[in-house]
Amino acid sequence: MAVPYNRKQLIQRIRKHMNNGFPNDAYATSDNEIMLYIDQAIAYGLVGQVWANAKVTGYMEVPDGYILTYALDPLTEDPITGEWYTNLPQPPLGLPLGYSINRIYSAQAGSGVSPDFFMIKANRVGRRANMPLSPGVRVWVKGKQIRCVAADNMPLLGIPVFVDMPTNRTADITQDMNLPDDAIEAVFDNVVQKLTQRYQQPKDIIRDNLPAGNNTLKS
Amino acid sequence: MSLDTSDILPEVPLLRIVDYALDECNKSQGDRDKYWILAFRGLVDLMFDISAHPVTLRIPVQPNMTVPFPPGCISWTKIGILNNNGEISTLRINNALTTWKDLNPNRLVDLTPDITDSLPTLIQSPFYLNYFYDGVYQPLFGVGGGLIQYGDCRVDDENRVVVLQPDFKYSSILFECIYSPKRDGDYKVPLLLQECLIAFIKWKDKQGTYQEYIAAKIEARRRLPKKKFVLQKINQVIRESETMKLRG
Repeated sequence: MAVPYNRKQLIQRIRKHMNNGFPNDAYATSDNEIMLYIDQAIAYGLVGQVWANAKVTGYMEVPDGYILTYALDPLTEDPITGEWYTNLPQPPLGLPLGYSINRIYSAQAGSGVSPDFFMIKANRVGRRANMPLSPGVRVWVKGKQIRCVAADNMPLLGIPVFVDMPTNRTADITQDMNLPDDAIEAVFDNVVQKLTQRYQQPKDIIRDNLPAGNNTLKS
Repeated sequence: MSLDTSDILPEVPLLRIVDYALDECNKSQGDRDKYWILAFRGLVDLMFDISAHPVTLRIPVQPNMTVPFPPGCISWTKIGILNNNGEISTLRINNALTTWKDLNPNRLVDLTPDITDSLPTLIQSPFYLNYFYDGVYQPLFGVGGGLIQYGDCRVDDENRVVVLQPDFKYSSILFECIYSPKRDGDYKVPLLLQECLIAFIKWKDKQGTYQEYIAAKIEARRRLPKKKFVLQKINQVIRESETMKLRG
């Protein structure tokens, strides 16, 4: 069993790396500040990785390690439009729908997992109602919110909705990180680079393992 | 025995064909709805050509001697009555029949003055339709062959109604038509059209070509039950060509 790797550990590692070469320990960054840099770096790395892979394979694919399942809050009806809505854990990343959100479905004990909801891209929502309606539930995204309508306009009250999506944020700093280990290197480098630029502190290179006297480096 | 997705059945849900296409083209769930719409369009395209199974319905004749199309009818293929051999005897298409007031329940009343004043009525000629005399089937010796006429009709496609002659003798007609495909949550598609629909989706999504679609369509047409060549069909040809005749 591998040791779990969480965001707190990554923050400590980055802090240690940054502190190590500084002349004093007045280097003050909060966990939250480093975490924001990490969140940003994960999103940047993820989207870049997807597009880079697409150039090689010819099609897009989000590495599975990024994808998590979230149980969403119960759906609420919008009395004006008759649509049912709830919130995602975060606005989807800047990837086409289907990659920014892997799938949306309902599931409950006893009846199992429902067929996937039909995800409608934002630019198709307006014209979609004028075409034959696919069976099941249609869903589209508005920022952090998803909106659902059943093909037969059935009420969706109390239906538990789940979403599988890649995320760059963590609800809890001690929660396991959902990213492949090979991506950590890029995240680490990115955050260290940002922090170094931010504080612009010079490093003293101290070679304290050398003996006293006139020393020259010998290969 | 319960059926699952691994069973090969004569009909396959349209959604499964969509998922096959998504899988083949390495597309995400975000393209599923678009592919479903393309599959639907493909189904309509194939319906007019090879996919549709004609449905036969028995529809009562309205008091005004018209018969409305069934609601799901896409296009009609045969209109007739049932004969004593259990076959559909088609009615003669008579485009001289008027479609005037064919949606009006009082059509016959409005036509009556004209019928009363018509020449056959005035000269008291008997009702006569080829082999039919006074509503009774009679094999009249000396009358030439050809199709037996059970009555006349005219199809008013705009008003979706079949217009019958005012003295049509039967209380109902058999109406064969291409009917809107079955929906059971999703559409069911004949299995032989599976690859053809995938080719259509790929063509429309710029993943394939029109030629590939047409090739798949031709292949599907060859696989239609009526087109498939079996030994029984050869027997049928022999049966129908054998006649009693003098042989030299």
